[in-house]
Order: sequence, then C-alpha cells, then structure tokens
Amino acid sequence: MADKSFEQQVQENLAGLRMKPDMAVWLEVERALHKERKRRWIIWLVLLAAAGGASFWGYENFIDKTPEPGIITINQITASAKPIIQEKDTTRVDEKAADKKEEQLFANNDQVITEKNKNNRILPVSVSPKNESSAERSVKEQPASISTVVENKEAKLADQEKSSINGSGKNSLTGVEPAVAIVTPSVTTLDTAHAQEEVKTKEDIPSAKIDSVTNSKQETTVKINKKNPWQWNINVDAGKSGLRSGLSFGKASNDNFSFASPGTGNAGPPAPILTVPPTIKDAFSFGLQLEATKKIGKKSSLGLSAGYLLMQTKIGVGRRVDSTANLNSALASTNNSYYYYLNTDSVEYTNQYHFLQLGANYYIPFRLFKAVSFRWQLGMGLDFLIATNGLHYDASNRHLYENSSLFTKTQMYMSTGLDLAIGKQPFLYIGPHWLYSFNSLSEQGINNKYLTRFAIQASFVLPKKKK
Amino acid sequence: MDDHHKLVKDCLKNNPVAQKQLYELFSESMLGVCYRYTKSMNDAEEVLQQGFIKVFRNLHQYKMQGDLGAWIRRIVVNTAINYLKRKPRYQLDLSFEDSSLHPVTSSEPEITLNMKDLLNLVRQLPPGYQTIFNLHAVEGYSHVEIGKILGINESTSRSQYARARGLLINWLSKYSDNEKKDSYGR
Repeated sequence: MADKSFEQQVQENLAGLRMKPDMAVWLEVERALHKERKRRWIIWLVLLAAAGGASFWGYENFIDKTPEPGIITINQITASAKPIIQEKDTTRVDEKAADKKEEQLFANNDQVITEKNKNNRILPVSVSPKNESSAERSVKEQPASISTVVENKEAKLADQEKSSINGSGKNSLTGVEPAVAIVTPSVTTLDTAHAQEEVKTKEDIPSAKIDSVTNSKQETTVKINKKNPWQWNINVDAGKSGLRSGLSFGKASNDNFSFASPGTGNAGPPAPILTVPPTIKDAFSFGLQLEATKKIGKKSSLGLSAGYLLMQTKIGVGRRVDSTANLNSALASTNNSYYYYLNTDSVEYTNQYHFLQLGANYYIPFRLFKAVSFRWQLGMGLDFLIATNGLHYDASNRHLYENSSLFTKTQMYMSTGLDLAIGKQPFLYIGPHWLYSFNSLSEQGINNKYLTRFAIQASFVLPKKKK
Repeated sequence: MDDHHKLVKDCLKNNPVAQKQLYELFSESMLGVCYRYTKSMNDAEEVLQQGFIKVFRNLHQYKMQGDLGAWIRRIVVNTAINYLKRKPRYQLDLSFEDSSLHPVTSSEPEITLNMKDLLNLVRQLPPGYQTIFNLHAVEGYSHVEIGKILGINESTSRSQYARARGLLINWLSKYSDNEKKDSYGR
C-alpha cells in the first residue's frame, strides 16, 4: 500500500510549486482574447448590417413610394374579342360614348341624368349645369325635360336627395320620379337594371379602413423541457404586405395590358381601349399565431404553428356601379357581385386577404459575446384563403370587380427571420421576418403576382405549468 | 473570496485589466502544474497559454461556488492531459496499458524529499506514469476518477501508479543526493 508519508511529502513539495512564466505567454493569451473580442464585434456588426440591410430592403420593396400600375387579375378578353357590348350596333357606340361622357361628367362633378338603353345599361343623356351648392354632393331631381329615366316606378330618392330636389320630385312628363345619380366620383352609384333602382346617397365605395390590430407574433419559444418537451408561444407580428412579380421583386410589367389607342378609323370592330391598370400599393398586414416548439438536436428546435394572417393591398378605384349587366362574355361568368368599380383612381380601396395559416418553423439559436442571444428562423407552410374583398381588373372595360373564387385558395409560403431573445431564459423573441408566397394570387394564370410581406414579429413564450 | 468573485465578474465584462490581474494571480501556480505534466518548459508554457484561454472562454460557467484556484486548476490539468494526447512526442510513451506490476519492496528507506529532485524525477517518468502519478499523488484524484479522465480502468490506474511510485522511490533512494538534468528540455 502506498506510504502516506511519501504521498504526503510529494503533495507538500509539488502541490505548491510556483514558477514564473515568460511574458510571451500572457501576450499570446491576450492576443487570443482580443481576437475573440474582435470576432464578436465583427459578428455583431455583420448582424446589425444585415438587419439594417433587411430593413432597408424591406422599406424599398414593401413601401411603395413610387407606385406602379399593377393588375390584380386580367380577364382574357383580347383586342379581338367581341364582348356583348362591343357589337356592331348603335348600342355599343352609345355606351362607348356614354362611358367617355360619364367620366367627363364625373370629372367635372356635374350632375347627370341617365337613361337605360335596351341592354339595361344606364347611359347619361343629359347634364345639368354645375350647381355650386352641389358641393354637398346631393342628388337633385331632374328637370322635366328629361324624357325617360327609370323603368322602375318604385324608385326612391334618398332624403338627402329630396332636400335638394326642386319640389315635385317627379318628372312632369312621365309622372315618374326619375332615378337620380349621385354624381360624385367617389361615391356615386347608379342603379341600372336592378328592380329596386335605389339611388344611394351614401358613399358606396368602401372606405379604406385599416383595422387597428395588435401585433401578431409568429416566433416561438425554443426551450426544451425533458418532462414536457413542448413549449407554447403566442406570435404576433405587424408589417406590410404587397404583391410582387416574383422573388426578384421586380416591378410589374404592363406589356400585356397595353392596347392600341382607339379611333383608328378601321371599318372593323373598334380597337381595344387603352388601359392603365390600377396601381397596387402595399398595405398593412398582421398575423397572430399559436405555436408549439420542441427541441431537436443539440440546439435547434422545430415549431408547428397555426393562426390567422391578414394581408392587404391598396388600389385606386373610381365610382361604384351597381350592375348585374353582363359587361362582356368572359366577365359575365366571373363577376359574382352586383357591382363594379370604374378604374379612375379616385379613392383608395383596400384589398383584404384573410388567411388561416399553418406552418412549420425551424430555429437555430446562437449567441454573441456570450450575452446576447439570437435565433434564426426558417419556415414553410400553407395559407388558406378564408375571406377576401379583393378586386379583379377587367382591362377591356376598365372595371374592377369582386370575385373571390378567382383567387388561389391554398398558397404555399416560405418565411425567414432573425429574432433577438429577451431575458435570460427568453420570455420574448423579437425581430424582422419576411414571408413569400409561392402561388400566384390569381388563379387566372395571367400576370402572376405573389403575396409577400415584411413584418416585425414578437413571440411571447408562455410559461409552463408547474406540477 | 469576494475579491475573486468581483474579479471574475469584471473578467466576464471583458475588462482587460481584470483579465490580466486574474492571470497574474494564478499563472505561477498553474505553470507549476503544467511543468509537472510535461517534459519541457516550452511545453509547460504552451499548456499554460492554452489553459488560460480556456479559462477565460469558460469563465461564465464558474458559479462563484468553491475555490476559483481549484476550478482553474482542473481546467489546466485537463488541458495538459489533452495536450499530451495530441502531441506526437508524448503519444508513444503515453501508454496506459494494463501491464503486470513490478515488484515493490515493502520496506522503504527513509527519504527526505527535495522538491527540486522530486520534481525532476517525476518529470523523468514515462508520460503515462507521470500523468497518473500527478493526478493521484499531487492532485488527489482517486483511481476511479483517473480512470474516467484518462479513459482507462481503475485497475490500470492503480497498477500504473504503483509502478510510478516504485520507480520514484527507487530513484530517490539511489540518486537523491545527485542532480538530474532534464532530458527533454531546458
């Protein structure tokens, strides 16, 4: 057995051994520490630059400073197509002229008296002189000189209109109260062949309201509990969404939507109307999700999320026209609403796309300076369109109409982001995120555009239940 | 102890003055540790350098409990062992094979150990013996712990230590009055 005295002596002699190292040793240690500090600063600067670049890029691409014309959807009517309206008859000519006249009248904010043609299309037939008091945008009853206005004898005047009507409110010739158009570029609606023939005084064009929404978060917790491996998080994010031509985020090309100018003098059918699609601007977007994460591997984790996502875009529209008329053969099968908007870019309209979102996210955490925690997120999933008021554009008639069935209902998306962890055991992650949809918004297959969004996301880690 | 804690906190803030102060506080004793495991001062200083870099990188793991010196010592010892395993000149001799025990005399002459002689003799042991002897006799690790550190059996550790001890005693009794030169370094 070992001699304790020997071991004791060994320990006493050798345990307290001290030797002075060379100065070069500390210099090498210091150099290594300095290198580490420098590396951390570089990583920190790179991340800040990346965040700044991402913010700048997001600002450049998602905040539409110089909006370009864009098209939500385009019908398939080409220049050679002959919609019902475009027939070789005076009706078409009348309507075409009526179109021009309407717009001129509306531009001048004049009051318009209308009549219906045989296609139940309301055409302006007369213009009353500008009334200074019409700045209130009330509708006045037409003077007795108007021949025909309304088929429906039950046409009602809004109270606001009656107040501005001269007196009888009736056409002196027909004894029928004329249908009155509210002539405001932004609010006027014309009852056409509809039975009610109501003349609305209120603005019908939906206001571009933006819901005030709380920020929704998408990112989730990363921690793992061996006993309860799943960590729940609430993700809230807010940002801007828009439509892009593709991953390159290039501006939309309008080549497909340029037509020859009218009035060529050809004997054949009239040349297609030169159109300028409405401008599509980015708009507010937000999301709210519940996510469950689980650690996989040493550091990374996987999250499964479900929630709600709202994406919006803004366009300029003209007055709303209540109509069930078949504007053209192609549009007839697609227009499922009883109104359309003229493409005159008079008021702002917000296209809202409500999605149910299901996704999977992959997280990789990392630290800077051993004190600041970050995590990188990469995700994919599906967005299910559950409701929308998005408009489609009919280039041939310069109309914007609503038809939710023309939108792609299921869209696959990819997302990525960088989160800063707050707290020692992070209770909050916050950072920029970007989402891109792989499927075109419109099912029509023309001028494919893809929904994208850039948002700041906050992820609240839900505390675990204590047993 | 409180001074050490304050020093550690300053080091964690990447205070270069605090870092140098910590180094100066423990570098001499740690170099003695490194010197016992290696065969030359150059190797010892290289181990010291690597050890302190590890100390500063992992200082956040020190939980302000226990002696800071002991915590640093453990890191330096592990660094030394890893260094010996990596360096080609030590690999051939760093054998922990379980070989038969050399006979050890039960009666031992009385030996008055001289630190310098003892140190030199320990450093002349084969690297495997030297490591196990240092870990057990000087650091105070049990053979079970040594087995875990080196990845060997407890019995191998015991036999290797016994052989090392026997050699040392033999040498000390023969050469305790003579100076031995370091055959590896300066």
